[in-house]
Amino acid sequence: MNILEIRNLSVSVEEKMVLKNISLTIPEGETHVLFGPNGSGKSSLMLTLMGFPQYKVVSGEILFKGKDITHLPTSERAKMGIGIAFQSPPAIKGLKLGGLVQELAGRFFPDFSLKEESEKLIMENYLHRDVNHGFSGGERKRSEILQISAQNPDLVLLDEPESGVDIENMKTIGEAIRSILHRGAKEKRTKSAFIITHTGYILDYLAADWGYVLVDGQIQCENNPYELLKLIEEKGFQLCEVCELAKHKE
Amino acid sequence: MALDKNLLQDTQKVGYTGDSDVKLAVVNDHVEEFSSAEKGITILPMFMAVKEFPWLKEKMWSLISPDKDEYTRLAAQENTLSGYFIHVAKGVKSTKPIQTCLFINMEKFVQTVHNVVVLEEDAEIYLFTGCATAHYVKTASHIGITEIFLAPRAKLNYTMIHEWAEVVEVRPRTAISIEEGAQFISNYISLKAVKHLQSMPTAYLRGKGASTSFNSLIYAPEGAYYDTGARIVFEAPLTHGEVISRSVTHGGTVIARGDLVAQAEEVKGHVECDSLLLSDGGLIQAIPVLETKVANVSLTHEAAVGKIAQEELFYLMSRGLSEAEAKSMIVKGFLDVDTFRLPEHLRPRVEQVLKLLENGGI
Repeated sequence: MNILEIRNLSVSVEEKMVLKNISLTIPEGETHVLFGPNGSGKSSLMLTLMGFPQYKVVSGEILFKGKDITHLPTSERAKMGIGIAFQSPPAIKGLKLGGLVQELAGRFFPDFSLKEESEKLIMENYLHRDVNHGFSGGERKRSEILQISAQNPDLVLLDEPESGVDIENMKTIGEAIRSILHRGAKEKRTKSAFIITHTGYILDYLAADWGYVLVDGQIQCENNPYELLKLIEEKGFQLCEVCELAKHKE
Repeated sequence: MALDKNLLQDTQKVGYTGDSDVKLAVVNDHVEEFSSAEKGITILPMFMAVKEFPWLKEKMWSLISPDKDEYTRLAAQENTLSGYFIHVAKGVKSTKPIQTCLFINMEKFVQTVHNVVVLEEDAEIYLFTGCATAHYVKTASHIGITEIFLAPRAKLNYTMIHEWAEVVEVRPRTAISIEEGAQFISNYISLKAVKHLQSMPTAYLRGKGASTSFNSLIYAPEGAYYDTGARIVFEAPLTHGEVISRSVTHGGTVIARGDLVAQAEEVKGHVECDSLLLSDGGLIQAIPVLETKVANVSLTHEAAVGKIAQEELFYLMSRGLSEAEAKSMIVKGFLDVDTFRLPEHLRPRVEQVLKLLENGGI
């Protein structure tokens, strides 16, 4: 079964096209990676998948677990099993992180152990703090993963989990994500992930199955993510102009 | 003397449980119950206090001018001895909250009270005052004159919860004199409809190192009108004070004021007004006023007025909460009691009160 299927998706923000004719499929249990330079539309794709209203679907469709969710509200998508860790999440004054996490666990994952999971993410001393308020880059990321952990989604969207994070934190975050993705796995993983990465550091902790390069709102090519990362590290994103893998070469 | 069970039901909503060692309840124009079982702490109905403490007459109307406005004039003219007097002896410190309550259970009653609180040197207390109308009262007025005197190094933590009926006019007139090294913390909560509430306590920082902090949480449903804030006069050097308000309006009007008046060197003051507008039709005005004739001072203000940030709303919705649930969570967070520097043992009581109020409306 495919957990996510995007068909010919074009999206605009304030009349400007940010995503053009995107198609991709993530089979259940797989981890796919999205590479691309700043401003190429990576975050726009994630927020479109999450149903944020400023991202207007001009054409195409999004299927989650085989159901058309193109026009479903954000909270419905989350309830169906999509979870997102934001690149720069907002702070919410007065709302305690521990309270929010427990509320989510109560709704979506009653087996969740706040103590165990928060210790894993070194967040046990942040539970009484306001969500993301005064958190450093690494703390925000860990707070995001803790919330995702309680939400226990079937598809995890990660928007640059490594930005602003040191190596120590990277390891903590990477291992926590891996353990979430392996929940309930028997012979095969059932949880899937779609990850935006700039540097590829997260791939040291997670095995990825497939990768895409997004430039100017279009998928330029797709391939083994480690091969893509190697090429990008060597040549930068200009590689698409010369690469024979590129789909949209004119 | 004890409060009737029916009365207690209504007063509990504003935190007056009647089980405190030091307590006093004013119902309409008379003191219904009082007791003072702690050494060094005296609480008395005003008409008895003026006989026992002759110097009290000099304190009355010494911080608030009877000519201030029509309400003070009315109170002065009545020469009301309804209200309470609290005296805390030198060095006496108590963490057990003193409970007082100003209650109206007669329709169309005009309640006029005059309260005086005196803390001698190094005294420290927590004072909890609840003001409310009986659930069956619709229309009433409350005029409350309160004068507070803090001697050097005295500390008063004053928490006030209001729960008035919809057609009640409320005019508290409060002033506080704060001497060297003394501290006054005020926590004010009103989450119910009120026809018209106007309150602007004034704190006078009169000695080096004196400090004050005014914190308020206000919720204004449709038809409610609040004009509230605080004024801090920095009369002595090296004093500091802040006015922090959080208000939410759902169709009601909130005017949030904060006046800082610097009259001495090296004083520090801050005003912070945060307001949320939950629906169209409400009105919020944040009015910080910073005034100084002295160069070497630091007076600052921050004000944020607006509706719930879409970014925060969608953040919570992306976690699987409905729009209504996300909104309610943000508003509750915005009105969080942690804003207040409440001592641990008072927190459960305030949270309980907030829950009761919440069930009744928000």
